[in-house]
Amino acid sequence: MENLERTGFSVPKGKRICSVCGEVKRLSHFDGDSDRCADCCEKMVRTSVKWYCVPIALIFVLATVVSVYLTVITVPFIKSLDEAEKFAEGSNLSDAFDYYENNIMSMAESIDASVKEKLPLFGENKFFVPGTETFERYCEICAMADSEYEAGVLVQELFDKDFIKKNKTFSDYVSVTDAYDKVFATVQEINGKYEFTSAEDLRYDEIIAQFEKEKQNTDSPYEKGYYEYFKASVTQFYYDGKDELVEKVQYYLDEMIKFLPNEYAVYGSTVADSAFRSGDYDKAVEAAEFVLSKNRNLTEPYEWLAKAYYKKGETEKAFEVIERLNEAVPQSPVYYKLLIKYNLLENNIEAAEKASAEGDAANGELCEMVFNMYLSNNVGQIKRIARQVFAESIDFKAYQCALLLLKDEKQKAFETAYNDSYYRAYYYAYITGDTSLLSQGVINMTTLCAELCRDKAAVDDISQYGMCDSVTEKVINGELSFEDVFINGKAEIL
Amino acid sequence: MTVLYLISKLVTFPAVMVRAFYEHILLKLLRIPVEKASYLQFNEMFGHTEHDLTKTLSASVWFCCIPGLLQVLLAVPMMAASFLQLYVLSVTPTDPQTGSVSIMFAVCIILRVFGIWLLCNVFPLYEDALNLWEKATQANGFAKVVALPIAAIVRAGAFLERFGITLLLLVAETCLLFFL
Repeated sequence: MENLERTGFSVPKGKRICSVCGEVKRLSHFDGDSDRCADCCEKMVRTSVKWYCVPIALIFVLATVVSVYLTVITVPFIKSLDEAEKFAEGSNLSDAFDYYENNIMSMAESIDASVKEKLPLFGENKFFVPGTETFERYCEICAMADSEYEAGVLVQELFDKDFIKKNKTFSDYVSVTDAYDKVFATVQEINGKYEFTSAEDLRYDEIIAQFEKEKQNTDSPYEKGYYEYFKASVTQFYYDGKDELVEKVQYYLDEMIKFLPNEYAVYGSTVADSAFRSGDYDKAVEAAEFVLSKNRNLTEPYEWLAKAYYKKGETEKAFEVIERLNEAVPQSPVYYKLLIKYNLLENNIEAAEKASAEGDAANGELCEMVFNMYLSNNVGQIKRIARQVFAESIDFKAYQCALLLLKDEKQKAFETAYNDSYYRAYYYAYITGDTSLLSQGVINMTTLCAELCRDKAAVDDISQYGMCDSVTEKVINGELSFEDVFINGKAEIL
Repeated sequence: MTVLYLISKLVTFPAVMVRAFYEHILLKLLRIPVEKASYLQFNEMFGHTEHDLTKTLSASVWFCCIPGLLQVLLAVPMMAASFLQLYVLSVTPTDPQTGSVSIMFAVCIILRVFGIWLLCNVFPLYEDALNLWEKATQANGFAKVVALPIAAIVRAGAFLERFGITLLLLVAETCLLFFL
C-alpha cells in the first residue's frame, strides 16, 4: 500500500485496495481494519483441507481402538496378579502359588483363545502372553512356596530352552535343579560303594568325609547346599534317636540354608523329623513355627505341631493347632484327618465320626473330580494340584478306615482303603511314575483291611508295591488290637 | 533451532499431518482465513497451516487446545496399553514359552511409537501460543482465571515442542522404563 502511495497512486475516498486480489473496493467490502476484501477472506476461509490425511487419522483411531481393547483385557489380568500378591504378602504362599497355577495361567490362556476366536489372523502363534514379569513372580512364588528345585522343574516345563539360557533369573532356578540332580547322583554313587543296610554297618565318618570332599570340589553354592542336606540325612540315619542327633543335623541344615535360603520347608521337615526321633518336642515346635513364619499355607508343619504338643501332653494346644490349620487352609483333608486322628487318640469316637463325615462332604467331590479327570486323561490341566489333592485325601481316607475298623465295619473299611486310598495312589503312580503316594501307611492299612476280609487277590496286588510293616502284621495276627494302634497310641501303622 | 524442529516433525510425520488436518478444520469452523493451506512447508511452519491470528480469547482457546486434546485422546490409550504390556507385564520380543516372535510385543511397540508421535504434536505453533497467552492476560475476571493456566501450559508445551524436546522426553521415558 505504502509503495502504491509512494508511486503517486491514490485510493479514492471510501475505498480500499484488497491486499490479496489487488482490486480497489468500497470499504463495506472490508471487515473492520482488514486489508482483505470479504470475497478474498471467504476464499481463504474456504480453502479445502487435505483429505489424504483422513486415512492416516483413521489408522490412529484404529490403533486407539486396539489399545482400548488391549487395556480392557489386560486390566483384569493385572488385577488377578494383585490378588496373588495379597496372598503372598500374608505368607499364604501356597495359596498364592495355587492362584498363579490355577487362575492366572488359565486366565492368560482363555484371553488368548478369545482374542484368536475374534481375530483368527494369528494362526497358531500366541497373541496374549502373561509377560516375563508374571512368569518371574510365578517361579519366585513356586520357589518360596515349594522349593527352588521345583521352581527349576517348573521353568523347564514352561519355557523355551533358548529363552532360559538368555534369562539369568530362570537359568538360576534350572541350575538349582541341575545341582540337586548332580549331587543326588554323586550321593547315590558314594552310598553304593559302602553297601550298608543298617546304621550299624554304616561307615558314617568316611561317607561324611566323601561328601565334604565333593562339596569342596564344587564352586556351585547350590551343590554345596545339597551336600549339607545329604550330610544331615545320613546323620539322621546314623544317629537315629541318639542324643547327638538333633545338634548334628541342625548344624548341617544351618549350613544348607545359607546356600539355599528358599529350602526352608526341607530344613524344617528334617529338623522336625530328627527332633521327633530324639524326643526333643520343643525343637519340633520351633522348626514348625519357623516354616509357618515363611509359609502359613503348608499343612505339614501343623501336623508336626499337633504331634509335638500331643506328645508333650498339651492336648488342648494340639487341637488349637488343628483349628489354626483350618484358618490357614480352610477345609483341607489334612484338617479332617488330624481331627479324626487326635479325637481317636482321645477316645472321642463320636467327634472323629463327625470329622470323617464333614471331611467327605468338604473334599469328596473335589477328589472324585480330580480322579475322574485323571481317568479321562485330562492330566495336563490338573497335574500340579492332583498330587496334593490325592496325597491329602488318601491319608484322610486311611484314617477313615481306622474309624471304620474300630466300629467293626471291616468290609466297608476294606472298600474305602482299596478304592479310595490304594487304588488312587496306584493310579497316580501308573500315570506319573511317582510312587510316593503309595506310602507305607497306605500299604499297611490296605493290607490290614484286605487280610481281615480275607481277600487274597487284593493282598497280592498290594504286595507288588511293598509289604506291610511288623506292627501291621501284629494287628493282623491279633497280637495288637485296633485300640492299641488307633486309640492308645501303643504303636502306629499310619 | 528450525533444524531441531524440522527433525522432530519429520520423525513424527504422520501425527504432524493429522494435527495439521485438525487445525485446518478448526480454522474453517472458526472462520479464520488461511493464507497457505500446505502442511508440508520445510520451515518453522512444517505441519501447520499459515493463518491469521485468532481475534478472540475463546477462538484462541479452541484453536490451541482442541487439536491437542484430540491427539492426547488418541495417544493415551496407546501409551496405557503399551505401558501395561511392556512395563507391568514385561512382554519380551520373543515368546518365553515357544521361542517365537511375540506378536504382542510388536503390537505394543507400534502402539508406543504411534503414541509418541501423537504426543509430540499436541501443542500449537509458538506464535499461536503467544497469541493465546496475550489474550488470556488481557482478559478479565473468570475468563482470565480459566484461560491463564491453559495458556501457560500451552505456551510451555509449544516452547518445548519448538525445540523437539517433547520427542526427546518421550523417547527417554520409553527407554528409562525398560531399564527400571
